[in-house]
Amino acid sequence: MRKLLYIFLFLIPLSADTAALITGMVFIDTKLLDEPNKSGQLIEKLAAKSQVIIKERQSSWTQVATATNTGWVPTLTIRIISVSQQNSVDGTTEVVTERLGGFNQKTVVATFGVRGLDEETLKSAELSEEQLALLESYQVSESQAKSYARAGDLKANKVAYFGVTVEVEK
Amino acid sequence: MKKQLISLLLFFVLIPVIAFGYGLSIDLNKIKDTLTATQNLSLDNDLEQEIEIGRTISGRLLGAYNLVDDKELQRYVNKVGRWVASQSERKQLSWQFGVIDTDSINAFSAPGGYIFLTKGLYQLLNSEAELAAVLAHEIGHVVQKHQIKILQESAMIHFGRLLLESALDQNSMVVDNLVGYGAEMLSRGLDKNSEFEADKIGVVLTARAGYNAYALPIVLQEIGHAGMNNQSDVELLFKTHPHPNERLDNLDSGMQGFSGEGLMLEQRFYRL
Repeated sequence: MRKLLYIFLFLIPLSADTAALITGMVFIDTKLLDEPNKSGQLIEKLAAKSQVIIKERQSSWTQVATATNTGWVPTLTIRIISVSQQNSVDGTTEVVTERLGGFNQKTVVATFGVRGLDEETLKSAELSEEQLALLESYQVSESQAKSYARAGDLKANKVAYFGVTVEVEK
Repeated sequence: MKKQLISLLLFFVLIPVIAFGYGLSIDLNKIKDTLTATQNLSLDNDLEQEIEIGRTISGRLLGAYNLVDDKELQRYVNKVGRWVASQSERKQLSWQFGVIDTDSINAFSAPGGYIFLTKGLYQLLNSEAELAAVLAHEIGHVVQKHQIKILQESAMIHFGRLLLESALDQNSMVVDNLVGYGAEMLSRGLDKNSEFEADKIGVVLTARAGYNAYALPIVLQEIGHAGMNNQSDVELLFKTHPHPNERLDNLDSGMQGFSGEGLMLEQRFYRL
């Protein structure tokens, strides 16, 4: 979360006496707990569509503030709805953006995140054998990857797909 | 496939002839050969051809944007990526992963097991699990052969046009044109449903690899946060993508089955 705030501080043109305020919405009925885990004590029951201020995130849990309490909810129950600048001197708040672009209906989308590569640059680019060779030199074997995973205490699990059919190649 | 070929034949050959009332100068033997060549483009089962196309597309991407000059970073990404890919239905592929040197925020995959993410996206990440999730999403595209399906559709349309010109140098031209479409695909993207599908596969592969399944939703939220401004590296997100919140909505019902267990590995994450 700290890194996220740094990102905001960098990206949003804040003056010295302002701070980013991230507002979210709980989109399903959720329990506000005093700890970022299911064992936490219930502080407050949040109804769907309740607005909260997002404070911090720890893995799959996010710390939020309601009008009366601060506690933790599962990260996935939150949707960001706006980012504001709050003036620390006079307390005024200015909404700098509200879901810019929102839910667009275009059907062509880029692969993961933000399209940013220049289409013309890509079209005019020449194939680089040198870079391909470099890429290949970084390749690791399945056993090397497995060893590295084991060193990090990662263990493979059996998890079934949901909502998608994946064919197994013969 | 046959229906598509017949439709293309009607649209590109017969209809123009009927409409304009005159016969075009078409070598019927070449049309037949062209159709055969397109039909034989059975990328579904031709791994060698898939890898060659992926390699060429990747080579052009790397010709435009070099790999970040950091061997330790690249090896790290390959170890994480290969481990995640090992949990997939196509673990036998010769997977290769790379971080390319641009501040734009994005990740790409090409047929045959080539996966890239930008330095800009990498710097947005905060744990190994988040890196694994980004790579898992891209691996999902390769597992489902999303790019291949688009390339095949593009090829069919293109060859339909070529029929009118009645000139085609068979298979070499087939591959050349597919590669051209592949480069264009990198910048234009895939369709929305493919993205949603890759998100779901990404979550599952992340969990299979022992990471926290919520890593992908976390990355989507971070991208959503970063998109809450008008900086050039991120504003295009909302012109060309489903909003991250929409992607989160799409994942939500399936995510209920995940407890949030699994590792994030913030400490081991290689930071730039």
